[in-house]
Amino acid sequence: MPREGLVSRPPMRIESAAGDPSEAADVARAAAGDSSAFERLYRRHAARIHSLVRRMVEGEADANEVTQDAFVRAWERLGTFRGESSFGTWLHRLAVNVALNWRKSAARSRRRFDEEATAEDLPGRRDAGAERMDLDQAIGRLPPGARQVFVLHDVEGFRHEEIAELMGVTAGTSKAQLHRARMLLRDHLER
Amino acid sequence: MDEHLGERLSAYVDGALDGAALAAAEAHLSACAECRDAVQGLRHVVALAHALDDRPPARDLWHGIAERIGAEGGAAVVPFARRRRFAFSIPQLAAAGLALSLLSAGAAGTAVHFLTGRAAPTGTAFVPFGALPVHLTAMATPYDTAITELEEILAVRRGEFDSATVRTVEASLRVIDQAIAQARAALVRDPNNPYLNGHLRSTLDRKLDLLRRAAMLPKVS
Ligand SMILES: [Zn+2]
Repeated sequence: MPREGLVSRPPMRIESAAGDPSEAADVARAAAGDSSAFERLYRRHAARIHSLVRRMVEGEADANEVTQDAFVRAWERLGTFRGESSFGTWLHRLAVNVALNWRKSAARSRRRFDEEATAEDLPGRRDAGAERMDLDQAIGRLPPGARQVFVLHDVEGFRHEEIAELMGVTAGTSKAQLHRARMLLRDHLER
Repeated sequence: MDEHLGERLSAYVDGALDGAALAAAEAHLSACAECRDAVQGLRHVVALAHALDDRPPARDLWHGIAERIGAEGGAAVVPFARRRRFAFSIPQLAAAGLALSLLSAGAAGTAVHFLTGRAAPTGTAFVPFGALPVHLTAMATPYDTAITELEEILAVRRGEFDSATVRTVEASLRVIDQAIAQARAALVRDPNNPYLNGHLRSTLDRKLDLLRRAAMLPKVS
């Protein structure tokens, strides 16, 4: 059976802003207290961060709050940003942490994947775009642990060892959760 | 047949198996349609996940962030109940080319407690705004001069305002002063940065505008 290189490559979505000189200037200004520069950084990264967060927590309202928390935290900690990674990577990592901690502190009613298993809302024929949207919604209905591992690994490109460290679990747990999430999503797409 | 591959399916899909584990998985796959089917489905999920798009939040979240970091655009707008637009400006300031040497040690960004406790400067009479004394001869500190004068006017008029107005003006000035201090701190690092100079200038303009409007507020009878 042929093996594809595709799936073992982490998505390269974090690095688009690396090394951008105008961004570096805004980071420096923001670190010195310039909120207008920080607003430009927000505008540039809002979609990226909000999309990450939206997939990690449940519901738009929570996603908005976590996104705002992440940017406020970034503002407070800009002084500790040393430029070892790109600002985008640093911000992204920070947002992951905020989202993970949000889950711990938020005892919320959760819609379970299996409670939603109706085939009625499936369109008769799905193009690739619709299928991606469908996947995005299905991610939101995964059990929290599986969802977070899936988002971090398959959407965001983290390795199991990194996920284990971020989430305070073992790499084995991360692998098991990933497989569980993928199988649920596969079943969902193939309903 | 052996039991199905289970979790090893994902490892296989990720290219994380090697050696004997890989050989065993491939041997199983060659004989098991169910696991082959699963591999296909998993690959599809992973490919879709890689292709997910980012999209911005449905509503702009900046305002809430700005409020929490004390930035302009948050609560900095002066919420005067009777907001007035005054046509006058200080064109001389603009004309001065804004050398902004006020960066040195101007009064513009120093704490403005003109409405609190500070005694009114002696001998300061109400200065008609049409005659706002912009010292064109002292272009080095145009903002300082204008701001100082306005502060003095406000100090004199303080007793004429109700306490809510005083609080509002003070709160707004604190926000603006903070922005000015931030802009200056950034300029210390990067003195010739045109953006920062423009930013400081516009912040100082805001302060002037606020002071002018405050100074022109009608007396509470
Ligand atoms: Zn099998």
